[in-house]
Amino acid sequence: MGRRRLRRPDPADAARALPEAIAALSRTLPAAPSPETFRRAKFDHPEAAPALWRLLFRVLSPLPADGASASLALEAQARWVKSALRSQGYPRRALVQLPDDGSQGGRELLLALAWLLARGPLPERLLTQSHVRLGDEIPVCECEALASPGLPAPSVEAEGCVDIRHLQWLMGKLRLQWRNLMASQQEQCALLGKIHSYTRGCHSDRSLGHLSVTETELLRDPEGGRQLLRRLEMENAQLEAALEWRHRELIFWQWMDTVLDACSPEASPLTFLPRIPEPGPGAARLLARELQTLQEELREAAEARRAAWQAVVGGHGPEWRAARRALQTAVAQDLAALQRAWEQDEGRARPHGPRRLVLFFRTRGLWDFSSLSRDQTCTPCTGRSSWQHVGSSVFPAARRTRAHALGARSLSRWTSREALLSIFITTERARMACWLQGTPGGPDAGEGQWSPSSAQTQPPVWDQALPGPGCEQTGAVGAQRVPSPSDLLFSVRGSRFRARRPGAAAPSGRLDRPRAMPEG
Amino acid sequence: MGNGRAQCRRLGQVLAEACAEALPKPRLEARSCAESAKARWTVAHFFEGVCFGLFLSMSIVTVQLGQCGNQIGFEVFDALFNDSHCSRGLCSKRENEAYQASCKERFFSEEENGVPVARAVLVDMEPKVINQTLSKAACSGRWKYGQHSCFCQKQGSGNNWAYGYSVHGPRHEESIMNLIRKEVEKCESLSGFFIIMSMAGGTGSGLGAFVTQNLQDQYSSALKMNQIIWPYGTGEVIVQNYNSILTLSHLYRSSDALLVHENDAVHKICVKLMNIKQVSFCDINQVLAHQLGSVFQPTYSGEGLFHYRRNPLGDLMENLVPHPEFKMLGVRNIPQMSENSLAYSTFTWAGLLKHLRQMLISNAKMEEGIDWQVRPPLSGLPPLGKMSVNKETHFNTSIANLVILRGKDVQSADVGAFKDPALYTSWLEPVHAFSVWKTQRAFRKYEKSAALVSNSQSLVKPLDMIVGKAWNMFASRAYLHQYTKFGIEEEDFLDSFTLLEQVIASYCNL
Repeated sequence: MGRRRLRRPDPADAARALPEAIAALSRTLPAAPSPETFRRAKFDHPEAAPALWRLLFRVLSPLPADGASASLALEAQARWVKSALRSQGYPRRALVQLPDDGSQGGRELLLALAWLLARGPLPERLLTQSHVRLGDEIPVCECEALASPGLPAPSVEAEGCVDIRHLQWLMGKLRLQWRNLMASQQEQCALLGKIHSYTRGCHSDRSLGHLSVTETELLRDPEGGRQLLRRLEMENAQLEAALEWRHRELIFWQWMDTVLDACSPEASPLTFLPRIPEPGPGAARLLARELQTLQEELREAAEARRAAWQAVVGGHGPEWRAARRALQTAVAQDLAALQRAWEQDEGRARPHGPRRLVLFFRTRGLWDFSSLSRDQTCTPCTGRSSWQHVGSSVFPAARRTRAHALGARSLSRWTSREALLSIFITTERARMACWLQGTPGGPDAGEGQWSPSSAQTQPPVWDQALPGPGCEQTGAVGAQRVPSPSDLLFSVRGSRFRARRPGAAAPSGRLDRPRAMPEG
Repeated sequence: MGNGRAQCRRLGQVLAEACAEALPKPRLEARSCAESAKARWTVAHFFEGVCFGLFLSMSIVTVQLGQCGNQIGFEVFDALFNDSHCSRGLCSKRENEAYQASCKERFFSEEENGVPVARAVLVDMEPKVINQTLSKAACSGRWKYGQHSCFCQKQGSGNNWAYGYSVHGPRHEESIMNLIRKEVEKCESLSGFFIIMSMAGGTGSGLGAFVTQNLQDQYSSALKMNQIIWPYGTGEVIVQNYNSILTLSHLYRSSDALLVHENDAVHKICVKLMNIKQVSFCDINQVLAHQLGSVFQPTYSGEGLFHYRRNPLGDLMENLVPHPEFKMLGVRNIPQMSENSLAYSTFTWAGLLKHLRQMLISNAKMEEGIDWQVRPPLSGLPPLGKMSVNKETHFNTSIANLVILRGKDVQSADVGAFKDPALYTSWLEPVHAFSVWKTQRAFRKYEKSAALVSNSQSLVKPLDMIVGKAWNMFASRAYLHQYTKFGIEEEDFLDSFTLLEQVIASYCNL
C-alpha cells in the first residue's frame, strides 16, 4: 500500500470519491456486485450477505466460474468459502463462526474481501483468469513453484477407523482418472495439431503461420465474431475499471479502516492459533520401529553379501580394478557435469503462466532455424520475453525409441520423418529424468553422422522437438542433415540440451548404458 | 514340500494383510495417434471430423494371441459389427446411427473403399488359425482385418508357457510391438488395449504375458484389459495348471483388469441354454463374443443423458478394478437363449434383474439352476460373523458390480436390489461399489437384456483349485525341467505361487 502514503486527498473529495472507488472495484470483480452492497455490508445488514458470499466464492474459486459451480446452493458456497479462506491462512475466527446458511456476516465478509485484496494482486489475477483467449494457450511452468509445498491440503477427519483397502480403492480410482485425463489431453493435443496443420498459411501474421481454435471457429461462424467483439468490449471495460480502482484505492482503504473500527471487540480469541500436530498413535511408532529394525537387518545382510562378493571378485587381478576405477571416475565426472548443468539452470528465470501455442513448419526441405529469432517466432501472450518450449512428443516408449534412435544420436538432433501431432509439455525435470533413463547418444556419436540408410530401414518415429533459436549447433546440424519429409515441427528451447553437453557428447552414453562400460 | 505351500500361503496372507502392494507409479507417456503427412483432406472434411471426433468414443486396440485368442477375437468383432448393423435396434434411426458410429470408432477404422477394418493385431506362432481367421473375416465382406496387421511363424510353443514367454517373446518382440504401434497410430485417441488370450496354453498365454508386460512398459498410461480363457477343469494338457499360474501371476503384475471366462461355464451355457447337442469351440466362442459385446457396445454416458459414453473401458475399470489386488472380473448375462426360443419369450426388467441378482449372490454362471436358498447375510453383523455366514450359504460377496441394461423401457428398470450394502464387502459403500449403464438400443435380437460385470469372490474357488493342483505337481518336481530349460526357474514359480496365494487370501477376507 505504498500509494497510500504518496497521495493524501482532500477530505471533501473523499466523500465524493468513495462511491466512485467502490464502484470501480465492483466493476472489476466478477459479476459486478452493486456498490450499495458494500455500504450495507459495513453496517452488517443481512441483505448484503448472500451477494458477498457469492462474490467471495467466485473470487476464491481457482477456475473461471462455470454453470455447474455457480449454481451450487448458497449454503455449500458459504462452507466452501470458509474452508478456502481458512486454508489460505485467513486469521479471523468470527468468519468461521458465521452460520452456514449464508444469511449473515456482511461485515466479516467485507473484511475478508479486503484481506484478499490487500494480500496480493487480486484484480489482476481475476482479469488474467477471465481474459478472452484468441490463441491456443497452454500453461507452462518450468519454475520451482511446483516443488514448493503449496497450501495445506484440506483434510477431513474420519470418524472411527478406516479400512486401508478403502483408501487403496480410492487411490486406485484417482490413478485411473488421472490416466483418463491424460488420454483426453492427448486427444486434445492431436486435434489441436490437426487444426494447426490444416489452417497453415491462413494467418495474416506470418510469424504465427496458422490459426488458433478460436480463430478457426470465427471463420466458420460469423455470428461468433460479434459475440467475440462483445466479450472483448466487456473485458476492456473491466480493464478500465481496474485501472480506475488502482487510482482510487487509497480512499477505499481509509473507508475499510472505519469498517474495522465498527467491529465490536470479541471476548473469544480473534484469531486462530497454529495447531500443534498431535503425536501419531502408538501403532505408527511401533511400525516405524519395526521398519527400522528391518532396515538394519537388511543393511547387515547386504554388507555381508557385499564383503563376500568383494572377496570373490578381489582375485580378478589388477586390470579389473583399473577398469573399476576408471568407471568410477567416469561416473563421478558425469555426475559433476550434470550437477553443474543443473546449477547453471537454477539461476535462469523459468517461464511460468499461459503461453500461446505455435506450430512451426519446415520450409523448402531444410530446417529453417537461423532465420527465426525468438521474438519473431513466438509471440508470448503475456508479453514476457522468453518462449518456453512446447514439447512435442508423441512417443510412448522411451525404450522403443531408444532402439529406433538410429543407434546413437543425441536427443537434440532427433527428428521426425513424419508429422508430429500430439503435443505435450515436458518440464525441465521430466526431460532430465527421461534423459537419465536412457539417452541414445553414445560416446561414439559424432556430429552429423545421421545416416539416411538406417533411417530408411527404421524410420525414426520419435518426434523430438528441436532446440529453438539461439542454439547454433542445431542450425548447423540441421543444415547438414539429409532433408526428411517431415511437415511440421515444434520449436523448443534447446538450452537444456546445450547445457547437457559440456564440451563433449561423451557423458550421455555412459551413464545409463551398461553395455558401453569397459569390460574387464 | 507340502509344508512349502503352507508357507507360501502364509506369506501370501501376510502380504495381503499388510497390503504391501505398492501402487505402480504413473509415468509420463507420449503417444502418436495418427500421422498427418498423408492428411490431405479439405478443410470442410476436417471440420466434420473434428465435430464427430469430439463426441465419438475413444478407440480400443485388440490384440489376439494364439489359437484361442484369434478365434475368439474374430467372433467378437463379428458380433460387434453384426449388432451395430442389426436392423432391429428398436430405437430411432438417429440413435441407431449414433450407436453405430460410436461402436465403429471404438473397434474399427475406415479404409478408403469403405470397408471397416478391425483395430486388431493378430499374433500366432502357427499360420493355420490366422489364415482361417483372415479368410473368414474377408468372406463376410462386411468388415475385415488390416492387410498388414498379423504376425505368424512356422512353429508353435507346444503348450509350453516358458517357450512362449522366454523364446518366442524376446525373439519377435520388435515385430509384434511394431504392429501394435502402427495400429495405435491409426487411432485418433487411444483408450487402451484389449488382449484376448488363453490362460493355459503356450503361445497365447506365454507370449500373451510377455506382450502385456511390454505394453505396460511402452504404453504405461493406456489401459490394459486381458480377456483370459480359463481351461476346462478336466483339461487336455497336463501342464495347464503350471501355465495358468504363470499367466495369472504375470498378468496380475502388468495388466489392469483380467476378464475371466471359464470354459466349463460357457460350455454349460451352450448345452443348457442354447440347446446345442454337439458343442464346438465355435459355439463357445460365439457365446463368449455375445457376452463381451453386451459389455462393450455403447451405452449412455449418464442417467438422463442421450449421448454415448466416450471411454467405456476407462469407466469400467474405474468402477470395478481400482484396487490393485482385486483385478478379476466375471461376466454374467441374462437372457441367453437360442434364436428359436427367443421368438416365444417375453421379459420384464424386474424379472431379469431379480434373476441376475440371484445369479450373482449364489455364484451361478447362468440362469438355469440358480440356488434360490442363498440369501445375503444380515447387514449389521460384524465382519467376522458375516464371513462365517458366507461359508455356510456359499454367499458370493462382491467388491464392485456393474450392471449394463439394454433395450426397451430401460429407464423404468429399477436396480435398487443391487444397492444393498449386504452384497458388498464391508469397506466399500454401495455408492462406490455399484454402477449401472443403460441404453435404449436393444442388443442383437433381445428386446431386453442385462449384463453384469462383477469383481467378486466367485473366481476364488477355481483359482484355489488350480493353484493347489499346480503346487502338488511342483512339489514332486514334475515337468519342471521343461520350464527351467527355457529360463523359468523354481524361484519364478515360487513368486507366482506367493502372489496368487495373496490374491486368494485377499479375496477370501472380504
